[in-house]
Amino acid sequence: MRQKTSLSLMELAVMVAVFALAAAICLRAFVWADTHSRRSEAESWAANLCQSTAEAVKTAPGAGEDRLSAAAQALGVPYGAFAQEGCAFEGHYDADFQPCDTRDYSYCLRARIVDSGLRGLGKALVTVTGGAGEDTLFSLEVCWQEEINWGEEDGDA
Amino acid sequence: MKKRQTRQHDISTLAGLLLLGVFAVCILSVLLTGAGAYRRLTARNNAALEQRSRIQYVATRVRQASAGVRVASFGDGDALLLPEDIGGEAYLTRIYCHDGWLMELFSTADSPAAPEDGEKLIAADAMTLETDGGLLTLRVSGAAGGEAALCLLLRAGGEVAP
Repeated sequence: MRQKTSLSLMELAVMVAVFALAAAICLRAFVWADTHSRRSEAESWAANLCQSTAEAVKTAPGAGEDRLSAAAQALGVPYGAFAQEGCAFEGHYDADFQPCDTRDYSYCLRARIVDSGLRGLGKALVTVTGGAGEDTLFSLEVCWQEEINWGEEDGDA
Repeated sequence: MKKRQTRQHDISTLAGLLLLGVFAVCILSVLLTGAGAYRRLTARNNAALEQRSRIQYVATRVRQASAGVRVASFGDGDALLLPEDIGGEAYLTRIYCHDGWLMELFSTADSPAAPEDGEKLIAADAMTLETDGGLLTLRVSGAAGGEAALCLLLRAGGEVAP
């Protein structure tokens, strides 16, 4: 009788241990799902923001940095301010992707001119970063046609 | 001797029951945590989907509009007007927010129309539209309070109607 009771206790203890292991795996899966969902939502907003910026860059007049400056103005993002090296403008957004102060931001929109490799074709890279590691959430390239002053180039030649 | 055995038996039973209770509480808490996580995920995904659908629906309609886009006030807010010419007759599609819904109304250009005549598309609280040069900025807010904005290049031209 005594042996049987001890066995039952052991069985229960093993059962609790197995359950604890399963629960730990489940909790990890829940946390992963939550993180994944948050990132998915942030990527959706980031895609929207990149798309807006690309459209504003395409609409803006001028060439190169002037075009980005005009696009930044249309978007209400300070051009040239707080920018990293080689970055034309930076916009800061809070956790709900609403424009916010530069100190308390969760996501950052950056745009910079990149070399298209083709004469007369302007190109910019628009990126949204965020999260703990400043990961790139979404990025896209936007191109536009720039005026080429043929007369001036012929003169140089 | 028998008394001591009975007491040990009682303690073992009690320990067993206690362990079973802990086990039951743990199962319940994991289940509740799982249900909570699932509820949060579903709510977040639904909100994101709705927000994306609202913005992208309007964006798609603007991109499809080959005859230009106009912005005018209709009912109690802004409306996007997409003119069309079908068989020589002028038609107008109005996209606007009314009574908590993003609505669409297709009618002949000169027919009198009221906001409640439109067809309900997606739940939305308000929509504001601004045009600046060739750039249309639309802001749509949902029932949850979040506001999404999108800038669109008006390829076929656009104007603001009085």
